[in-house]
Amino acid sequence: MVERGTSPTCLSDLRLDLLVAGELDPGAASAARAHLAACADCTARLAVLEGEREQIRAHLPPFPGRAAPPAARPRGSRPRARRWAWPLAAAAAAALVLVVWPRRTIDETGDDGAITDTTRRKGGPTLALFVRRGDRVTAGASGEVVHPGDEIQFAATSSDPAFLVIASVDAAGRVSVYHPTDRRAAPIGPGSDRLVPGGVLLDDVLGTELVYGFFCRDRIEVSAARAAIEAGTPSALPSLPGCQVDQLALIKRPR
Amino acid sequence: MELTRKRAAASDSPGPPDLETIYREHGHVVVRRARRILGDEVEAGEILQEVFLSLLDRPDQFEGRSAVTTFLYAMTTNACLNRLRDRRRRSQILAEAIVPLEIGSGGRPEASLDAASLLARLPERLARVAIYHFLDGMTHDEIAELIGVSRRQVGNLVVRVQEEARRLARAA
Repeated sequence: MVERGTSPTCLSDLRLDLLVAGELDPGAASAARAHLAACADCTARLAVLEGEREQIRAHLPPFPGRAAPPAARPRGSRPRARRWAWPLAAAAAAALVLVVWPRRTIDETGDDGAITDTTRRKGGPTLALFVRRGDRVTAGASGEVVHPGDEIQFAATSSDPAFLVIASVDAAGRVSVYHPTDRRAAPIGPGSDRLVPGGVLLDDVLGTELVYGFFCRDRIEVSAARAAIEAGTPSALPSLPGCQVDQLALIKRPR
Repeated sequence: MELTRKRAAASDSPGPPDLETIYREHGHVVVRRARRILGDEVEAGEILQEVFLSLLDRPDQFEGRSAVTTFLYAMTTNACLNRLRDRRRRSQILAEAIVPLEIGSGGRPEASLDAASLLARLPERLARVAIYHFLDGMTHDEIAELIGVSRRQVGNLVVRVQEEARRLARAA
């Protein structure tokens, strides 16, 4: 790869990007152009950046803000989870089918039933997961491809003390509660990636399993979280007053 | 030194472009930068989404005090650093809790201090300076504009990065 020229006067990528975007002031732009005219390294680097720009632009996913017009969305419903299939570089990854399912965290339901849907809000509670497959343990992410027999362990991040329930709905529509084993939500303290006790052995129901972490102000009944999932649809996050919900998607495939 | 056209101050500016236009015209900068820092195509796509959803949520983050490109460089850098810190935290959990407990292998994570783990360990401001100086090869003027300090302070921060890197390497 052509890197930035080695001379102290060579242009950084930032300067080249600013020049191309027309964001340098006139004097700086003239100086940059004069340097480019005399420097083969920087000219080559600019060509690389322009090539990357075209390649990335050609595969740029739709603007994340694009959603169904409000009139088309029933009151109280939430936008469908955005699926991203990010093009991997070149053919090296052609054999991979990779689905990245962005996690979502929603705030509590407002008085008017409106939902604020965002991705991970800074400081908002989140779920993470670890996957054990044979002798290997790896940190997973939403959209992780998993297999029957894999073991999953969850970790929770919350800036405030909360009561936690982790439950899921599999591709067959069956709801399972993973945590806690008690009938009421389990307390968690503030902190990052606190391991949730116990692991989950994945069964052989293939397809997408959506896992929800309910981070609640009060010690809710686990059955309330289960009911919220059962009352929802796969395209909408469950809603439970007093709780924030984070979602992870597991893509369960045969080995 | 004033290097970039600051939108709010430019008298001939037609006003700030809408976010979707910025996405189409400048999104590639976010992807390329995230790919370079994180070394991962998929994560770069996630960072692109994270950055623009954050701007949709709070558009006032872009105050027009700098060029759009400069602003996106800084925002992408911060998003990538957060992700590196998450990785580090999860690596610690793997090494300290799950692997020994469940596998009993006694294996230890690599002791080598690669660039990503160094960035995850450095204080926020030093990590940003490290990226701008060592990865991007920016001038001190450019770094000064990005992080809002004087050129002289940038020089001091680069020295601190080097000292901290040596200290962390010894500790590893």
